[in-house]
Amino acid sequence: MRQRLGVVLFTLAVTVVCGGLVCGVNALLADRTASNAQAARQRVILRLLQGTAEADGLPGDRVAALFQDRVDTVTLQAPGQAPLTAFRPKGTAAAPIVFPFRGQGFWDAIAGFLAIDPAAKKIVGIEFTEHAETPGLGGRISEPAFRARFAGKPLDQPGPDGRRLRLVSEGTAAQPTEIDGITGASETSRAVERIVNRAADTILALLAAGGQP
Amino acid sequence: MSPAPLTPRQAFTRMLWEENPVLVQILGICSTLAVTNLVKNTLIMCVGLTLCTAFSALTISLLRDRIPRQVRMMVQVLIIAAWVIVLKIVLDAFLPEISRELGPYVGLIITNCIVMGRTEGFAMGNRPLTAFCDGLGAGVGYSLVLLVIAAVREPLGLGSFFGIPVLPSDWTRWNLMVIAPSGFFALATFIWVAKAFKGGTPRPAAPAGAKPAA
Repeated sequence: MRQRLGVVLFTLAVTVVCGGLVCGVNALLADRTASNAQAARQRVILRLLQGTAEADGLPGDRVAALFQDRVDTVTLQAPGQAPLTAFRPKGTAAAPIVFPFRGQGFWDAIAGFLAIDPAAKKIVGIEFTEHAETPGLGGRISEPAFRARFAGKPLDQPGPDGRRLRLVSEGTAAQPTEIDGITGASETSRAVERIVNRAADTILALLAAGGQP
Repeated sequence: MSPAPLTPRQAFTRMLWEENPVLVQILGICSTLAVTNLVKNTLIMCVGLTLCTAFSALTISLLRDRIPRQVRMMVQVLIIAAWVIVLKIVLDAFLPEISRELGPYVGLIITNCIVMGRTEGFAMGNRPLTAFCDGLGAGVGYSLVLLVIAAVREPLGLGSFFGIPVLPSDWTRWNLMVIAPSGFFALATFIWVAKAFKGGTPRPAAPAGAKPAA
């Protein structure tokens, strides 16, 4: 009996020490981790709004200051529509608006930001901030070469089936609304097509309904 | 497990080649297949695994006389998990970009057969410094194999090395090299060559704690 109690107490002690170690390190670095995540988001938004990599090499606090300086965070609302957080450049009414998007990819959720020119109804840029697609195949969605394929694509010419954009086999995009997919990652390409089209539907509906901050 | 006590130095060096965890003990196959299509990710994964193996072995060796036999596996997993989570948190805080790229693989070190194999098979019966060196050696041995495989897979599959294009842009990428099956081919070829090189030394018995690759 006594021996059994010893086993239980030993296991409990190891659990408490290990748990304490993990909690301690986590608590110690939580601020840093949170500000890293925040800075990563802000870098992406700044890149999309300005089209430059100005914020990329900067440390977290400088990025936050730059973000504060250049970006307005607004919530677009319209009657009958769910409100949407968006980011626009400070001071000008024109230029792109950046919207977050999220949807189910092949393995796990894909999330990111989409920059849209509201007047021309065109994509300005896209970035994927979160995904778990197969490294080297679907994972290539985060490569600049793939993201660049979205720039300038019109969102106001939906096809008969309602899809505004379609991802086609790599190298066969011929129409303005067609984008080269990724060979070897058909499911990821399909998921990205679905996610981007759905995000565009929501955003354009909101803008058409007079969505205002 | 081992009749004659090893010096820390021997414990380290024998894991590099003679007792290489991947080539001889065929442990840690899961991550060998999963992460070796990019050299950079492989390198970070290897550093992480080496640190986790070494510190888990050290901790368990320090506690080895106190750990009750009935619950030793549970205690080992607890300690390994604690070290791996600490590593994940540190990566998130100091190398956020790389941490994001590695995604779930860092957390999966917990289930890496090498870590458990070394703690159960060696650290439970050896002095802390020797166990630490053994864990370090196992990690470095694993890293050597993975880096060689990655150095074959990334150029053939993506035409680059460490993310830098090395092959002409009209190089036809072998998609096969990017996906997991080519990891099997590359690993099998490597083991074959390594065995031939060693000149047919008899294979040691499977170490305790070995489990099928999951």
